[in-house]
Amino acid sequence: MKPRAPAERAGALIAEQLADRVMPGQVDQRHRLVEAAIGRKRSSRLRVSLGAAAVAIAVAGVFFAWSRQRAQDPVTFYVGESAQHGQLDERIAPGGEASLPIRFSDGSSLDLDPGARARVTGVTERGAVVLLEAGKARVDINPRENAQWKVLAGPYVVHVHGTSFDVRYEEPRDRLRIRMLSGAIQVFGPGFDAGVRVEGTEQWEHCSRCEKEESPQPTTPEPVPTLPDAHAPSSAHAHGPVDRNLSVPALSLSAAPAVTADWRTLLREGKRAEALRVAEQAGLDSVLASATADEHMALADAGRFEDNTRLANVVLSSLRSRFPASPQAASAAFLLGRMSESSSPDTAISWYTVYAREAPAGPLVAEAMGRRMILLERVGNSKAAQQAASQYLRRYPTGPYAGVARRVAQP
Amino acid sequence: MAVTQAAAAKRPERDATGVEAVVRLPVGFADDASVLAGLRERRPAAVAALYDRFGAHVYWVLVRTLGTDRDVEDLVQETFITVVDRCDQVLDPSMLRSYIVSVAIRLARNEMRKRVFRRWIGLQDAPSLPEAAPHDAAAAEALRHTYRTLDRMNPDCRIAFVLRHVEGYGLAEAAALCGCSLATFKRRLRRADEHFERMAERDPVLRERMHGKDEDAR
Repeated sequence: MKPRAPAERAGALIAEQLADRVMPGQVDQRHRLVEAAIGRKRSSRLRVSLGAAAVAIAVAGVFFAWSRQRAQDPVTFYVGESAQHGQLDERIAPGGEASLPIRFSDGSSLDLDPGARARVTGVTERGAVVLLEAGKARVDINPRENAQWKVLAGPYVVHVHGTSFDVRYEEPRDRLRIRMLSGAIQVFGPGFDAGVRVEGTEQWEHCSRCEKEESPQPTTPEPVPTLPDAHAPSSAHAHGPVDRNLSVPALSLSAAPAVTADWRTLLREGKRAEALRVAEQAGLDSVLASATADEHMALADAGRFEDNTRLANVVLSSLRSRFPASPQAASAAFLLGRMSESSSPDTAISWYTVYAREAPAGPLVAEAMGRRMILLERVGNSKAAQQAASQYLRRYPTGPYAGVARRVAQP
Repeated sequence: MAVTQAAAAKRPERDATGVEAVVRLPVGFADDASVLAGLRERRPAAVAALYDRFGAHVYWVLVRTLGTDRDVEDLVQETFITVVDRCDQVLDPSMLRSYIVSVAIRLARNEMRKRVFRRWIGLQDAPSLPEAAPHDAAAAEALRHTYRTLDRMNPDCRIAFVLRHVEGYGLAEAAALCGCSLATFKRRLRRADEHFERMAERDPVLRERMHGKDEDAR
């Protein structure tokens, strides 16, 4: 086969790295658009006036923009106590036993422990992007309006607005450990593309290449406040595709020792089978009546992982019934589709359709569209399959199902 | 009660064995034709549905074209406001998506020209590329270098490059999106490819990435 040209390779790289996913602030943007679009009834005369006004202020605008931009220059940074001016993409590592500080012009700082390696890969007027290649760092971000900081570590992306935390990344195992000191952050990574919020003084850990028995483990003996129930399960499983992480250790959240072995506590401790047994003993209906959407999701995940699809079905149906407008309801539709694939492909097709309608920009929409197309072909509905394939290719020309879609789309 | 009914509408019916059999889909703007009709009637729900259907795609097309997420939310708004204002120009509902992308591309081209002007008067934009999750440091670095190369390209050529190699459009469709003839589009694309190849040869990161072993060829 002919090797791909550099331009094609570059295009594929961009398409892969910047693939369609949920856009930031989608709900606010939608409200803004509706208000703006419906409120606009500009006459042509007004348009002419606006155009003339735009021309009239253009020169002043240039000077204003220039002075504004100067006031909002990207942050700069200095490395070490000698305040050596830092360079983008340059590797920074402490030479000896002392930690090495990176000080930013907005008052934020990042202290690298001995053995750590990092690079500042981008700066804006609102913050910077720091790549932690290995080791531990203390991150102290000055809280400012619209601050935008990111710490990248292996497959993880940590979004920071204003907070202090210790972060340790162990490269060989892709293990990320975070110890919050104040504020809140959001972590994205393999299996939790929708992000996990970590806040207060919580400790958080994820390892994507560890053996199952190695993780989860509390990382420090210090007493840590228990994570609110709603966070633990959803962050680990709410939006992750179904089978991808079955063999991967889940998120580990340090929590106070359990006093009573209720199903929530057992789930947080990773004792899924026991949690399911306790929930069923307590009566699934009453359990679900008091459970949040996230807790529904966690219980359903436990059911799926323990091959109790009957229970998972009941829980996901309850979730859609009790929280129909929640993002988890759409995720539940996707999971119901996945669970129905082998037993009832037609039902699975319907659920994938529901997911695509309820979450048209959801994190699993490509997956849902691809699987729906395959199932339509499997049940012999070739016309609908071709249509689904064309839709998929229009939206995800380089997506994971693009190869199959091209085959299916051919009449 | 309304919520309960809505929930019931989304839930599949169960047959005698308790297995879900049929899903009743919620009634609303189920396809592009109904969205377009709603826009012509200036129904707010149609605007919201338009945004839900295409918002994320437009956002990411703009990010991929411009190589930054800076100010992209404003461009998304401008795209949709233009589409809502000019929805009467879309006669065939199946062309709605292409029309939206063509508006976004035109705005992106204007934005690129503005950025050239800003650079010219000394207002350099700081890079602001969104990261993929899971993060791949090597790919992210190659991505930054790719956009540094694209930043030196003529906006028309760059758009041709993005539509063809990133968005995967066919030549004719991409030409239509750019509002130029097929011959013009091919000429721009050839220039873009040659420019990129030339610049990539001078960049060690890109040279290694672009001329490494091609997995597809193995």
